[in-house]
Amino acid sequence: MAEPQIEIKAENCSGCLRCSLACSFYNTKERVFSLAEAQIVVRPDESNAWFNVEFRENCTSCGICVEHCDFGALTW
Amino acid sequence: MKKIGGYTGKILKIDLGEKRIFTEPLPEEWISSFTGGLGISFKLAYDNACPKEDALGPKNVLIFGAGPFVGTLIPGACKTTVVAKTPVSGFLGISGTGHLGMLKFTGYDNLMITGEADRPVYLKIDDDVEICDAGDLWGKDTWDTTEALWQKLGKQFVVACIGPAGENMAVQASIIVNKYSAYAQSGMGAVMGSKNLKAIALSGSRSISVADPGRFSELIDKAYHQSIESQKETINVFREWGTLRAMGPPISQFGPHEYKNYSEVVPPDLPYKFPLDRFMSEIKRGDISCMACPIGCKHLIRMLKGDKAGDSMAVSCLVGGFHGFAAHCAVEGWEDAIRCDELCNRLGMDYLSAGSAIAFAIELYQKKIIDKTDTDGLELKWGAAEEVQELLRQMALKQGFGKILAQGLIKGPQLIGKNSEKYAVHTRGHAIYYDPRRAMSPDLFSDMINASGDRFHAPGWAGKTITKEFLERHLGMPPDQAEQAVTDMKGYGLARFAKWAEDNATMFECLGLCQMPPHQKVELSVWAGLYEALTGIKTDGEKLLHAAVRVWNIRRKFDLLEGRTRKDDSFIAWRFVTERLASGGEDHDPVSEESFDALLTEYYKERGWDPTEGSVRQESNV
Repeated sequence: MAEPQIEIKAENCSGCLRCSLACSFYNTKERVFSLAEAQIVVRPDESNAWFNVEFRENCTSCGICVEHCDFGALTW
Repeated sequence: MKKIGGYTGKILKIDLGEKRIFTEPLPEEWISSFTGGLGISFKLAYDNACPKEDALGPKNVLIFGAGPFVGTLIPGACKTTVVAKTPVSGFLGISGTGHLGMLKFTGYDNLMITGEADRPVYLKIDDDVEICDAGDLWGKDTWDTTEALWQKLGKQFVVACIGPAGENMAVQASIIVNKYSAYAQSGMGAVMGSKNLKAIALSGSRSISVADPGRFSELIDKAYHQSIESQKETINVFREWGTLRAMGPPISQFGPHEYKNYSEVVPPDLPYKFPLDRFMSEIKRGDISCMACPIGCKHLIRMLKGDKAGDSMAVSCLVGGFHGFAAHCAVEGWEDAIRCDELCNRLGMDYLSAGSAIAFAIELYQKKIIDKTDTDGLELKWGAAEEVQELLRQMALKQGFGKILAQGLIKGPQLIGKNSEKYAVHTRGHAIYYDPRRAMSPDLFSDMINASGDRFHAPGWAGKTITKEFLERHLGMPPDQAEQAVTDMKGYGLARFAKWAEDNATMFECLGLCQMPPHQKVELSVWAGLYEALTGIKTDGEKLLHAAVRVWNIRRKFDLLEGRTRKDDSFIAWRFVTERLASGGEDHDPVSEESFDALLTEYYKERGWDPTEGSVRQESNV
């Protein structure tokens, strides 16, 4: 697995999940929407910002999530 | 049913009284007749209706729904709905939120809950479905309940819960999702409370398939361009201000923020007490979105005063809080208004419904119709934030004078007597958003005659310049009808527009789309194309709208079973038909009941209903 080069700015995350939805749709063989198969995970976390954002281990840093982030939470 | 893209194809049914959990297939004919989401929920509500039974009794059926678009990347595909007979009016109540899309990933399109648990419970829905003991959660507010469930189950769960208001069945009770997003109006929290159902926690590992991924992807780009890319400046305004945008023109000119229980217009200096630049620089910390929405009209804000100062909270419809407390109750300044919002949210109550009930009480007190002997010593005056908050607590706990206000704006005045109902401003029990003395818009007209308890069937058309082309392109109105409509936008044109706007709004709800204005910019043909590519079912805009007409008819049929008549549709609050509205140099006449009634007849004709009684004709396809 390549180390993801994508920078996460969780304080900008709006929790829309467009990153996770796009990740699963464009990267699964069956072209499905699946939060379980997405390699980026967004969950509530008030200790930092409102959301926590993490990559799963099979992330390939393809950048689909960056393309679908409208809030500047994911950048190269 | 065979696998159709977008749908999970299953309905989850839970009988809390019998402790029975089972699934049923989503019938294909229901999809073609009612599309999905709200449409399927209405069908289930109608098929399981128990007319004249108590809305807060075990026979009421509570149904959540997520349409085929929910859980996909379509911009704005977030809207889920909950329906049940509402304790507010006794008719079919509706409420929506953009944060329960997880339902689809648990493998269900709709969730139907019947019966009443014999003790407090919550539902845990993931790969399995369990009815779990909620004895330790009962009594907790919505934030503490959510935290407790996250601690127990993990933060992958989306938590929809009720607070003390729902437990005690206050008709203003809402269902709060993940601490901030609300199924706000219609008292759905009270229905949940009546079933001893404290919370629903969902986490799903299922997937949503797409029939034609290539075409779907192209059309998503097209929808994104029309709703987001082509209007970046507008999007920035919606993102920065969210629904607070309605505090400024053109919407503010239609009277959404009338003051002190609609007894006055908003004073010219009120905006200075709520400076938007201060909101941006000192209060707002970030944007919050519903699922799949690139706009982000909700806010992450910082608490300003009190023991929680410095803490953050997320708020959804902030203008609802402004309307309920700042405009209705005359609470001044961001700090005090936001404290009311926070408390309301924690107690699990709707801002607008609660604010309307409290404003009604303050006016009664100021007019000396009630006094301290009625309010257990509480002095009610305009702008007194602490007293407003005390009444919120009392309503949620059904204590003191709050016990009466928690009965709502129909039963509450009956309990008070003394002709107090004159000052109860509502549409069949539901708090109202616009002042009809200012201008009768299609939004407001629809809200007044249908009183569904949510704004989503009347989506923000006030203040828009309506052209024939707009009606054709975005509402799908046939050219000849559009041409007629624009020639008389105060008469039958308004009634016709209201009907078509309702059908469009219903189509959005059935598909699972938010109706924020940027999403309304997407052409009908693009939505139809997305539906085809997602599901594999041939359709067009006309067919989707036709299904919406059926959905509207079945909703009406439910209400007719409950005894709804023309009299219910033509109810107008006393204040609006008797008092003038003085607005600076411009006075507005009371609403003419005769004109309103004529408009209602036009509306019935547009719907194809009996023009006298508003009943659904036999030939109408349900």
